[in-house]
Amino acid sequence: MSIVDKEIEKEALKARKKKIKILLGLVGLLAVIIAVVLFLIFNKKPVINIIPGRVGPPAYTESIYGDFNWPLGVATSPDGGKIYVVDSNNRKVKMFDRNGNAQGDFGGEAKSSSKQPGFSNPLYIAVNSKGQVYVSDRTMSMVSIFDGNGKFIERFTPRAEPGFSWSPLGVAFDDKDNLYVTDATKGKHRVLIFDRNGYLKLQFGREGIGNGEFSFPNGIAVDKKTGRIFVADSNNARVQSFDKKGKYIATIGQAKGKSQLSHPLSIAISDSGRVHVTDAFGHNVQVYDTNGKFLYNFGTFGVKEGQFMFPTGIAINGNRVYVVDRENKRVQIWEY
Amino acid sequence: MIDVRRHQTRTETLRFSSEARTVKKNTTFKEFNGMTRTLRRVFCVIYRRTPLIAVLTLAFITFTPTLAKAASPHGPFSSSTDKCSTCHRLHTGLSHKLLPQETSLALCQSCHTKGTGADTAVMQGIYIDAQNPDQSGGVDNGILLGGGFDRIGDASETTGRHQVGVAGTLPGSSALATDNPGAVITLTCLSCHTPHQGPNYRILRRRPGDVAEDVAVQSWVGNYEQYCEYDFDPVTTGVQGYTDNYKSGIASWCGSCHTTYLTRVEDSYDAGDKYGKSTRYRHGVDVDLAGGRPDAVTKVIYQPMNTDLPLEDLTGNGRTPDDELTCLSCHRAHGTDAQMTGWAEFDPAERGILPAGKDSMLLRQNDRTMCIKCHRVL
Ligand code: HEC
Ligand code: HEC
Ligand code: HEC
Ligand code: HEC
Ligand code: HEC
Ligand code: HEC
Repeated sequence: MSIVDKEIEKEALKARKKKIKILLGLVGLLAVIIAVVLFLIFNKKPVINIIPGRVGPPAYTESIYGDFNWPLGVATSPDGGKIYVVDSNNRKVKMFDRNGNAQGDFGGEAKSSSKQPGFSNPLYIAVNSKGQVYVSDRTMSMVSIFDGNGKFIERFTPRAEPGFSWSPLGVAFDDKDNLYVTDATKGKHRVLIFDRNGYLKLQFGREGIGNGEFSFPNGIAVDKKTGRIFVADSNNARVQSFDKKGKYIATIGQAKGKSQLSHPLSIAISDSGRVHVTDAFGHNVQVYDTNGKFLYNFGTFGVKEGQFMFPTGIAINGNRVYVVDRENKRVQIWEY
Repeated sequence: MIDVRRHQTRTETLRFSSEARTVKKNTTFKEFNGMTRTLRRVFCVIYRRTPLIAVLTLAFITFTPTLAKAASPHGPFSSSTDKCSTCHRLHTGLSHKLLPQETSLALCQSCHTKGTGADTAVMQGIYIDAQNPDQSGGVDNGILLGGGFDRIGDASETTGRHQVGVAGTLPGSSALATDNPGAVITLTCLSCHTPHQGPNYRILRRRPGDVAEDVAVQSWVGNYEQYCEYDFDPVTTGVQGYTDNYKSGIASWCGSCHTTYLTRVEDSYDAGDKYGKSTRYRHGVDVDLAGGRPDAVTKVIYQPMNTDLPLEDLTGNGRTPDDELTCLSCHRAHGTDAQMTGWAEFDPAERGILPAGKDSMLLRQNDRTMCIKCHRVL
């Protein structure tokens, strides 16, 4: 073997070694990548924003104008195909499709017989997993139940202790279709939770300003993941959160600054666990995480598109947020 | 017709039976005999003060929750509760310097209609009380003293009202001297009420119509310096409950805007109505039912004890002939559903606020029902 040959062999060996090294490196990199991907897939914590498309606040898209007079509550059917808006002074619930086309209405002036449908001052609205629509009416002390097309089914009969009376405001369901109601009975401002058969399972709170006490609680919402209950304690200018058992956890919106609430009315929680609160006198929607940390807000005071004058009801379906803009007589649609 | 349902008072009185106390005292003192003198003294002091201690404790128990409860955002204000932030959020359009008129109306209505933020639903004219069920499984909400702006309960729409949020000609605003017909103004809640606590009954403005001097309006139902909504709660009042227990000042107060209505028979002047400048005769106010005016043109026979119309009780001696007639004896403050068959002459269509012939001029009762309650027709 010549020296040259030896040299060539050496070079080849070196090159092979280099190749192996590169290969090994690549395998290692792949392993790291796979590990990262697996970590991202299996780690439940939202490392990246889960609502596709947006990290920050949603963007205004369009509004539904439906000849409203004092619109209050809003809700969607479970599939998001129908939007229900309580048109309080007209004593009706108006229905729209996803594109904002009117789909008729239901309700009308109350008749004295409780078998008949009708409203005196309908307020808030919630839809259960079967698509049944529940509408509260404090002046009549009633919650009425309709099917998804607005056919009257019956009035909800609370099954509780004898002599039970209530003054229902906000309504909401959890994923097991338990009915959550905020109650403004004089001296007893509280939260009532009924099971699917109408039995009163749990109640908590009373009128006052301390933790776990309320002054005209309006909106209520349940976080699907944690089961936490969020209550818009409207006249105390705050939102309070509670665990499943009604134990007080935290107060939201009392600190001075951007996170502060003035007159929170309704709450809706996105699938990603963001707590959206309409602040009627702040004229915007304030958004917090489930621990009460302020994230961002959207909307300002005014009459232009994307501006609010006394926002009241709120509903979220998928990436869409519906906000009732009371004094501008419309429902705004925002999208993530 | 309006049915003023009075919220019954539930007063709890604690009675000390003096007889029982004496008997008990003797036995107790016997038991004290074995004790040291000082200990005995301490016990005696405590014992003698029992009624006082009981009363103080009772007062403490009854008033503590009241103060802590603070259901009304209008006050009482304390440094520990930030009630101001409800209506004043400094970084938004509702900071007090930026508060436009329409917004203030919507602000008050946010709570005072439909029952989402207060028990008094002034647009509907009802006091929402779920503990008062009716036949049909619904509730029998009491009618507010002021009536309602839009409706009176579910039954009927109002036939006369102070129109809020719409420009209207103020009847009789002209001061006699100026001959100035009624001013056109847009009423809001703030034309008549303040948003904050104040000394006047129902937190009424001290200077409505921007008069130069404060006008005091008082009633027997509460201490407005300290409490708001005192009388909505029968337990806290312990006295009257929710009634029209007026004391003084209403006529001067209404007269701050409706200036000419304070004058009985005077020179001719323009009151801003279709009669232009002409001689006016008005029914007297601030006169008591016993005597009335000595020089009254028409002599009237009163039956004050039979009347269900509210009067001003200046002395607090209950309903007696020395009570005085005032604007709210005949009128509601917000709105009424009284029916008029051709009486009210002032054509509301001229003022562009209500369909012609429908206006009942805020009168409490149908047609002239009220008149014969005070003036017996023989
Ligand atoms: C129920 C809602 C409400 C609450 C609660 C409230 N305010 Fe106001 N405030 C108003 C409105 C409405 C005005 C505008 C008054 C007007 O135009 O006559 C106002 C006006 C004011 C003004 C301007 C001067 C005036 O009186 O017109 C000041 C100062 C003020 N508020 C301070 C406060 C403070 C301090 C608190 C808390 C102790 C408070 N407010 C609580 C509604 C409220
Ligand atoms: C801030 C000024 C103001 C005060 C205070 C006021 N009013 Fe008026 N009032 C008006 C104006 C403006 C109108 C006309 C426009 C309207 O009807 O809204 C009116 C209209 C009326 C009418 C005619 C209503 C109708 O149905 O057409 C009556 C009656 C009346 N007032 C009585 C009273 C009485 C009683 C009081 C005291 C409790 C009072 N007002 C206090 C401003 C005032
Ligand atoms: C023309 C003056 C005037 C206007 C405008 C007015 N109020 Fe009143 N309000 C009164 C008077 C006077 C009373 C006392 C009535 C009584 O006791 O008979 C009263 C009573 C009330 C009460 C106590 C409930 C009751 O009826 O006894 C509330 C609450 C109230 N007003 C809120 C409002 C709100 C909210 C608005 C605006 C939508 C408003 N007021 C507009 C004069 C007015
Ligand atoms: C955050 C809700 C809220 C807002 C906003 C609000 N009020 Fe009230 N107000 C109440 C409550 C609660 C009471 C206690 C009585 C009741 O439950 O109705 C009350 C009581 C009153 C009373 C009766 C006071 C008394 O004790 O005699 C008057 C008058 C009144 N409000 C006028 C107004 C006016 C005018 C505004 C707009 C500047 C306004 N309110 C805004 C909640 C509110
Ligand atoms: C709450 C009781 C009361 C009611 C209701 C009442 N009045 Fe009178 N009326 C009086 C008193 C008191 C006087 C005496 C007034 C005076 O001395 O100036 C009087 C005086 C009169 C006078 C004489 C006027 C004068 O200057 O001498 C007439 C006329 C009159 N009333 C008509 C009516 C009419 C019409 C009605 C119905 C719209 C009515 N009254 C409702 C208490 C009442
Ligand atoms: C004795 C009952 C009575 C008293 C007291 C009374 N009013 Fe009247 N008021 C009436 C009647 C009745 C009418 C309707 C007149 C008609 O049919 O046109 C009326 C009408 C009015 C009107 C509508 C315009 C008009 O002149 O028709 C105003 C404003 C008014 N009153 C203000 C007042 C004020 C302010 C006071 C207190 C200073 C007062 N009233 C006291 C009975 C009374």
